[in-house]
Formats: sequence, structure tokens, C-alpha cells
Amino acid sequence: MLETLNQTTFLHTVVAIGSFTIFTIGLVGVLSKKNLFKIFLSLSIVESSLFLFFIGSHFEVGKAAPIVADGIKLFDGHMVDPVPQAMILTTIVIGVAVLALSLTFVVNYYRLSGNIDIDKMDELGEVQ
Amino acid sequence: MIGVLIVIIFTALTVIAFWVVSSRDLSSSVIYFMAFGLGSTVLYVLFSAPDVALTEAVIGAGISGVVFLVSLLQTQTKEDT
Amino acid sequence: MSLKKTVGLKTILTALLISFMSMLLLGVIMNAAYTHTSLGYDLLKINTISTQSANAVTSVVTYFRGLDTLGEVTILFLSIFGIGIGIERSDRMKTILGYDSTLLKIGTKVLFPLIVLFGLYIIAHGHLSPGGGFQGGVIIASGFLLMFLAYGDSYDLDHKVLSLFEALSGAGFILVGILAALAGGAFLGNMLPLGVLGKLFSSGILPIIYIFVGLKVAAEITVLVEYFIRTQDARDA
Repeated sequence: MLETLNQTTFLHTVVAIGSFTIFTIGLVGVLSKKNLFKIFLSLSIVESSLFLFFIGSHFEVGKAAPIVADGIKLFDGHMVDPVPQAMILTTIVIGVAVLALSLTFVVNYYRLSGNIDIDKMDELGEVQ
Repeated sequence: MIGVLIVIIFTALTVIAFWVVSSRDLSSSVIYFMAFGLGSTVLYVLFSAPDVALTEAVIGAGISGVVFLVSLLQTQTKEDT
Repeated sequence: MSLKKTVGLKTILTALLISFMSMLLLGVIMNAAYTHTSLGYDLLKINTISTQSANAVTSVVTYFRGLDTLGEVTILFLSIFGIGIGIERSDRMKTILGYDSTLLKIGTKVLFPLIVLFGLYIIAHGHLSPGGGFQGGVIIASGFLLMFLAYGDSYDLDHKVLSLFEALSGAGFILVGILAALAGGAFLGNMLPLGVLGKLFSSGILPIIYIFVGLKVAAEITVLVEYFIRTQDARDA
């Protein structure tokens, strides 16, 4: 039983199913919530699920991190792929800066109009 | 062993993501979001990506939560139903 | 309140639609086979002769795909620039989320130099161990966040020094790239001796680029946190 859980193919399936479940939860939040903060929180959840899928689908059981340490003397096929890790590493830092930019827009909108409910936005003159 | 850990943490992350989206109180949503960042940190370590785990530990569980909380405190903390 | 009022028909339809689309995507992904001959394996094979860095992620970020890192640092700068334009600055600014506690102040005074030292260590050893410029930069910024939380309005940050750090590290990145182009023949190529794997002064140009990236990220995220935590309350306006 526990031997099947440790196979790489099974873990790739777990990563795909789990990431898409989290992606779906976040997407439902983006499309159905009315509060702007809740929309951006759900968008961050979607972003994190994509990071998890990107790293997890390039992971294989028994392979070490791409770093030479005490037991590992040279770079070869016994290490995981370093390219997805390098891309996700920079994307996480960029993501928080862009998220802060969008939250600045939200706070400025609240300061001007007094609400953050997307159903009550009527600055363009459209009456509900 | 690593397979069991990955399955358990993925299940927990799914539950936490559902709480983030469905909670009525916005500040508890933010706290759940920080817990989500902590769980993904453990998952990155299991996926043998220690560089990404270091970044996510500071960003996901610290700075992004503070940015959300501060802008939340300036506006309103309850979601209108 | 009935179930239809609480959830809403549109929500249920949206959830069904997205679940169906997710199942389709899942089928595509589970049928795709993983191939071992990828770009990362080739990069791992030439890593030892071309960079002598013990951390392959560092060599990918700063050497093999150094131009991408330059672009990402530019995106980071542009976001902070937009936040600085967007947030209103006035004399009535005050620190929100501040705590007035003596124990916290004393503990922070002990912890802050250690956090900054740890961040600098992570930056300088990016080519030997897990870590690097992005990770160390955000660790230093979290130390400044602790100072803002503990000291509130009485902690003054010198904006001229921060702007100087930010500008000089950004310019230094490009300057190193141009110097490498003049000396070695390629933008952000290697012009210094590679050294021995595992030593602090090794792997040529990589630690210099990562130190510049680390200082840049630390300055940018500190400015971001300072803009957000010390502002005028929107409800007073």
C-alpha cells in the first residue's frame, strides 16, 4: 500500500488533481465574490496553485535538490530540474509587488468613493 | 513516506483554500491565506526545492499577509452579504 | 435565509462550468508523458565546467538566464514606482498596526541586527548553499517590517540612503553586464576566473550579480512595506 504512494507517476497525479482543485476554488472565488479584497485574495490562491503545479510536476521521487552538498559530489541526472525552480523563485517576489500595486488601487478607490463592492460601482452613470 | 506526506498536505491546502474563499470575516480570510503560504512552504521542501521554500516562507507567510492586513484596516473588515 | 439566497444560481452554474473545464484540462495533463531529456538536464551537465557554482538554481538565475532576471528586477522597480505615485503622501501620516510595548522594543533592538546579518549571509552565500539575492533581500525587508511594527512613528528611515541603494544596485547590475560584454564578448557573460567549486570567492561573476540583485530587492520591498504601513487612514479623508 505505502509502496504505491511513493511512485513518481502517482505523485504527479496527486499534484495535478490537487493543484486543479485549488485553482478551481480560487477561480470560483474570483467570479462569484463581490468584495474587491476577496477577489484579490482568490487571485493569490490561483497564483499559488500554479506555482505548486509547476514545481510539483517536475519532481521525481529519489532525486535530490540541485545543490552540491556533503553526500553529492557532482551534477548529473540524480537531481531535479533547476529551471522551473529558478523561474518560480523570481515570480513569487514579482507577484507580491504586483499584488501590492493592485491593493493600492483598491485603497485609492475606497478613498474616493467610499465602497469596495463591485455591484455598487456606478461612476460611469449606469443605473442597476 | 514522502507520498503520504504530500497527499496529507495537499488535502489540508485544499481545505484552507476553501476557508479563504468562503469566510465572511475578511481578516480571518487573510490569516487563512498566511496559513496557506506556510503549508506550501512545507510542500516545496518535500519537492526538493529549498530555494523556493526560503522565498515562500518570507513572502507567503509574512509580507503579503501584512500588506493585505494593512490595506484592510484602512477600509472595512466585514464582507457585505 | 434559503439555500438559493445564500449561494445563488449563478455561483452553482459557474462552479459546474469550471469543474467541467478542470476535468478536461486534467485529462490532457494526465495523458502527457514526462520526458527526461529536458533543458534542465543539459544545463546540469554543463554547470560544472561553465560556472563552478555549487547551486544550480543560482547559475540558472544569474548566468544562463541573466537577461530574464534583469527584466524581472525592472518589473519590480516599475511596480514600486506605481505604488509611490498611487499612494497619497501628506503630513497626517501615521503608522497603523503599531504596538506600544517596551518588551517588544527591547527584543526588536536585539533581533534586528541579527536578521539583517542573516539576510546578508544568505545573499553572499547564494552560489554555495540554498539562498541568494531574492531570498536574502526579502529577509532583510522583514527585519525592517519588525522595526516598523515595534517602534511606530518614532522610527525614521532615511529615504535618501534607500534611494541611493536602489539606484546604485540597479545601475551596478547593468554596468557589470556591459563590462562583461566589453571584456568577454557577451552581455552578462563571465569575465572573471572561475575558481574552485565550494570556495566563497569562486564562480566568477555570479556572486557580484546576486549581491546587486539582493540589495535592489531589499530596498524595494522595504519601501513597499513603508508605503503601506505608514499612511493616512482612508476613513479620515
